[in-house]
Amino acid sequence: MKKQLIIALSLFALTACEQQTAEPVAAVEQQPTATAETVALADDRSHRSGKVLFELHCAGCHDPGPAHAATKQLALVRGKDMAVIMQRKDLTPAYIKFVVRDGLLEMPPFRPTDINDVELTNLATYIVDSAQAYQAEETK
Amino acid sequence: MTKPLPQGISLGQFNAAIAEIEKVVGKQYVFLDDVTELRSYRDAYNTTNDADFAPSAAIAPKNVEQIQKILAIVNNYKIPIWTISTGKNFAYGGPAPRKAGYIVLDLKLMNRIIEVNEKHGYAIVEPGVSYYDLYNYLQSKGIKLWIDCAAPAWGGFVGNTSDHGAGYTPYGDHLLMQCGMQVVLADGTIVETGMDTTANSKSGALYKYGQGAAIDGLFTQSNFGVITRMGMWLMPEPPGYTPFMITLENERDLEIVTDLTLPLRLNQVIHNAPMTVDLLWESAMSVSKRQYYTGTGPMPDSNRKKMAKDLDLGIWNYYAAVYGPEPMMKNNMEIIRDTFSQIPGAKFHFDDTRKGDPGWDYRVKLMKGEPNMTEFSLLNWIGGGGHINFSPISAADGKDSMKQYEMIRKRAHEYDFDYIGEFLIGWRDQHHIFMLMFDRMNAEEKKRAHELFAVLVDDAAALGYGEYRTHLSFMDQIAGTYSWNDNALWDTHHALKDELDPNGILSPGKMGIWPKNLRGNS
Repeated sequence: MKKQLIIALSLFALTACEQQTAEPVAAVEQQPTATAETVALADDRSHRSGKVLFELHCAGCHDPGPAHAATKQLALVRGKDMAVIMQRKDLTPAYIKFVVRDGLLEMPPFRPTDINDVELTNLATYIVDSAQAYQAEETK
Repeated sequence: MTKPLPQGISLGQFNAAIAEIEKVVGKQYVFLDDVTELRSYRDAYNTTNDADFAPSAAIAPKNVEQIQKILAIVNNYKIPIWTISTGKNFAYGGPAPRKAGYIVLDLKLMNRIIEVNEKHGYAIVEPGVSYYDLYNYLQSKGIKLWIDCAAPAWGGFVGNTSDHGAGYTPYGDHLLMQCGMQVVLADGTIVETGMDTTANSKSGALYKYGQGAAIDGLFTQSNFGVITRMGMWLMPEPPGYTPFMITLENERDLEIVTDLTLPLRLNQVIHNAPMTVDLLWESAMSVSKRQYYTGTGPMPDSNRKKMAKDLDLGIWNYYAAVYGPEPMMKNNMEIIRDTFSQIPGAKFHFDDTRKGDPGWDYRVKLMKGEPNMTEFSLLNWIGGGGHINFSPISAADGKDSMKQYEMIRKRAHEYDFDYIGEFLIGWRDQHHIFMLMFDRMNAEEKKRAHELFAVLVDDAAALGYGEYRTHLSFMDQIAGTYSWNDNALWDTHHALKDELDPNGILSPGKMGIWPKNLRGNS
């Protein structure tokens, strides 16, 4: 057990040294007003693109591949041609908007603070346009 | 459909309050449409009815000043608000309020990363900052700090920490790693905790306690204030990282693997919280139930065994990691190998043989704080996505592991559900998470799941186990199990509630804490 303790303590000592030699990247500023170091993630929310929103909210489950829950389930239930939403030809912006706000089976709904109405249009258009582009590539 | 309204509030009063709130936050940040807007604030995975938790409105302030003005308005009208941050919290109620009619105070738009300090290893964030957000920020700036995220990782720091969530790196005990907090009280007073209260403090996110009572914990799993920012310690990226998995062949191995783990955890040979994951949970990352069993009820043993063989998984699958310079990891791994090799049939797995297996890949990511959504695959197990988590705490003791596992599995099977679970060993305790999966489109299955959960709370209490967190539906029942000395603890919660929030406007009923005017009605 002594050996184990020494190992643990030496790890923490080393970590502490590293902390002291690293350079800070942001000044300490804790006032509630915005500072140069304060980052607003979505200052002007209505300008987030469909691509940005897809990567933030959708890709985790809908990207291609077995690590992505929605893609995997759609492949099983609807077949592999229907698995990847960015490659599907049957989705319309209206349907995407409805499912995003309402949820569907395994998928939860997304609130207007996650994706506002203008952004939802951007997102739906991006998905449909990407699917069309994929179709074009496929038939080249 | 009749508009859900807060108890005792007329439509006229509600509309008048909303008109005042719209002047504060702007009309576009007040959501009132029950169909096109507020359905996104329901708990899609509840075991009862959406209407039980349907809010009357949701409002999204962008700063503390707006929160103060909102609090003044709802105090005046005595309208309850339900505070959420990123609002995920699935399995425990999502963004939905405890009772129909509350107004949801959605802090998602307060999403500033106030500060990241690489030298001292911390970040200060607002409630709307998600794990993805801070991870992406650190990556884009090349900052060598790790986050510790929940799985699935679209949640956020403030919400998860406030609900006592856990993660998978050595910084996985989120509330332990929280340091410094800003809170708005019901009367609009802004309070900063710990060192932040001293003039020109630069150590608010470094030392947790300051002088006097350490009160940060009072604002977690409670309704005594609105948390508007939080400091979180972040782990410096270590020079090395060795994740590993051990597959175990027998159900009874749960006991010995728990007992062998405790001294390694107490002495920090294993740096993060090890997880012992059952076969079905692990398999659900790769396959769905229907691929191995299309009958009704829990999956039979013969099908389970075939699935385990096909996927090269154990009946239990143990994940943990060591971190640090190569020689230290090598030493620790030697001790770990010596320890667990005592279990007959125990087999070690590493990246070289498991890479590409979704179950392995997402655990490897989680244990180094890389957010991902793979664990949502659990919702595919039977399809339909419904799930609530039953989460009792016990000592990290093999006998407790077995007792809980056998109790929950037996009850789950009685009610025709699979046992899907994992144990996560903290500093000395363990969380046992039983994932109760049901098809949310099937009313009978929902009802059965609800009944099972209620029975489990009582069964666990009878064996001496309490839950660490729970779904909206069961907050009161579980609060009732924390009853020693004639409910002295809950009486204390209620005394604080009445003092800090006399009009009972802040999240009434959160975790079973009710304001005076609603006690006895719940």
